[in-house]
Amino acid sequence: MIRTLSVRRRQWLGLAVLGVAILGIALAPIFASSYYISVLGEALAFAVFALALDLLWGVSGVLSFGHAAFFGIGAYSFGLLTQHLGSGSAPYVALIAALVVPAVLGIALGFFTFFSGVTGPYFAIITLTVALILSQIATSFPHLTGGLNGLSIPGLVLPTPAGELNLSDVVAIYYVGLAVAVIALVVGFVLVRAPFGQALLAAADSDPRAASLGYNTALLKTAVLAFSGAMAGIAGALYAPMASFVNPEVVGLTLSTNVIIWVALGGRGVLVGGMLGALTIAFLSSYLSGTLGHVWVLTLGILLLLVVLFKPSGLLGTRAIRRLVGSA
Amino acid sequence: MPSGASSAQPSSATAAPAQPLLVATALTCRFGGVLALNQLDLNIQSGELLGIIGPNGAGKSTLFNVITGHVRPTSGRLDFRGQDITGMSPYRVARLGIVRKYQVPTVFQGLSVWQNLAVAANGRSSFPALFMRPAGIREKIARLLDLLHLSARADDEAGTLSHGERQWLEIGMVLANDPPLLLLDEPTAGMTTRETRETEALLKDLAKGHTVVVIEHDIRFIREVARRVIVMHRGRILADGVIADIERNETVRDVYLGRSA
Repeated sequence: MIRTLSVRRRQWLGLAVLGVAILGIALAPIFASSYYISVLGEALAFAVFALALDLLWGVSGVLSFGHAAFFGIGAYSFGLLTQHLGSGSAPYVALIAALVVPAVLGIALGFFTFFSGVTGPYFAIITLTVALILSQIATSFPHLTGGLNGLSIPGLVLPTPAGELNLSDVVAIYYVGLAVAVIALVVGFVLVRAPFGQALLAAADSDPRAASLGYNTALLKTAVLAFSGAMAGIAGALYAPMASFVNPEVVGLTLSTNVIIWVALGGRGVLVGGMLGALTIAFLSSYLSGTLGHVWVLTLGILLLLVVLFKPSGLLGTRAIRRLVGSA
Repeated sequence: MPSGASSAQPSSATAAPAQPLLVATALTCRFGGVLALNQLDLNIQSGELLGIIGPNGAGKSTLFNVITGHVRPTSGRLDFRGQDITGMSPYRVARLGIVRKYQVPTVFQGLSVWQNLAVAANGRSSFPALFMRPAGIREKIARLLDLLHLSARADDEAGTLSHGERQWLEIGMVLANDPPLLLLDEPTAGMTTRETRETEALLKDLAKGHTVVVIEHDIRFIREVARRVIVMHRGRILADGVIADIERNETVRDVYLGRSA
C-alpha cells in the first residue's frame, strides 16, 4: 500500500516537473530573441522525432538505425506538396501526406522484416540501408527534390477556425511546434499505457513468452513501426517550414545517428527522455557552437561518454521514472 | 508392450465428457540422430487433468513444444477441436486456446507483477481491444493476486521475485489468459513442500473449468492431482492409465520408478 502511494506520488511529481517545463517553453518567446526561438522551435521538431524513435526503440526494443528515413520522407512530402499545391488548405493536405507516406513505409518495412523474423542488429542494418538509399535518391533526382541544394519551402499561411496563421512567423510556427510536441507526448503516453504498449514492452522483454500467450508480435512491432514512422514524418513536416528548406541531410545517416544519441542521452523508454535529449543537444549545439566553435563537438563527445559510463540508462532513465510510463 | 496406446484407457472412472480436445497422430520429431518423439499417438479429452511423467530426455517437453508450435514435427499430425494445427505458429496456437507454462519460469522480468497478469489476460483478445483496457480486468487481476499470494508484490518488478513466486506468477499468467487447454511444464520445480501442496490445491481447483496437462517429476504430486497418467520413454508412450495401474506396471517400474527408488 505504501509502495503504491509512493509510485503515485512520483507520478504527480513527474507530471508537475513536466508541466513547469512546458510552461517554460511556452513563455520563452517573451524573453528570448527570435534567433533563439527559431533554434528552440527546430529543437521541438527534433524532440517529436526523438519521441517517435523512443516509441519504437525504448518501448518495443527494436532499434532503427535509419530513422531519419521517416523524418526525411515526411519533410520531403510536406515540401513537395506545399510547393506544388500552392497555399490555401495545401499545408493540411501536405501534413496528412507527411503522416501517411512514412506510415506506409513503416508497414512495408515491418512486413518484410518482422514477419520474416528479422530483428536486432539485422533490422538496424536494414533501416540504415533504407535511409542511405533515400538520401541517395534525394541527391540524385534534382529535378524532383532539388538535389543537394534541396527544396525551398514557400511562406505558408495556414487557415484555421481562429483566423489565418502565418507559418513564416517565427513565433507562430514555434507555438505550432510546441502544440505538436505536447499532443505527440500525450498520444505517446496513452499508447504506452494502453494494453498495446504493455504488450510491446512484454514482447521486448520476451518475444516467445508474448507469442505463446497469443500475441502476434510481428504485427505489434509493425504497428508500432508504422506509428513511429508517422510521428517522425510529422516531425519532419514541422521542421521543413521552420528551416524553410529541405535538403538530403534530413534523410541521411547523421540525423539518424543524432536521434539515437538524443534518446540514449535522455533515457530510453521514458518518452520525455528522448525529448529532453533532443531539446538539450539541439539547443546547446546551436548555442555553444557559436561561442565554443569546434570545441563544442568535443564537449558533446565527453558529455556523452560521461553519461554512457555513469548513467547508462540515460539522464531520466531511472526505474522510478520508467514507472511513470509503465505503471497502470 | 503397449506402444500407440490411444485406446488403452482402462478405468477412466470419473465422468469426463468423452470428446477429444487434442489428438496427436503418429507424431515424430527428430533432432539430428535423436528421435525426441517416435510415432506418438495421444488423445486428450475435454475436461481431464492429465499427468505426464517419464525420465529426462523422454520427450515430454518436446511434446509440449510441438503442440504449441515452438517446434515443427518431422511428421505426424495434431488436431485441436477437430482443426489441424500441425506446424502452426505459436501465437496462432495460443489464440486457438492452448497456452503453456514453461519449464524454466518465463515471466516478463521488467514488468510489474500486475502488468504481467494484465498482459497475459489480454493475450488472446482482438487487436482493437489492445487500445482499451477491458472492463472487469482489475477485479480479475486482484482475485488472481490474492489466489497467488502476490497481492503485496503487485507493483514489484517480476525480475525481483523468488523462484517459487515466479513459478506462481507464470501459472497465474496462464490462468489470467484463461485458455481451454493448459499445458504446465513442471509447475512445482524448485518449490518448497508447502508451496507444492498449495500448487496441488490450485491445480485441482483449476481442473474444474479447464483441461490441464501437467509434466512432473514428482510422483507424489502426480498421484495427488492427476486422474490419468501417461508415462513417456524414448519419445513413445510406455503406459497410459490411472496412477494405481501405472505404479503396478512392471515395465514402468524398470524404466522409471525403479530407477528413482
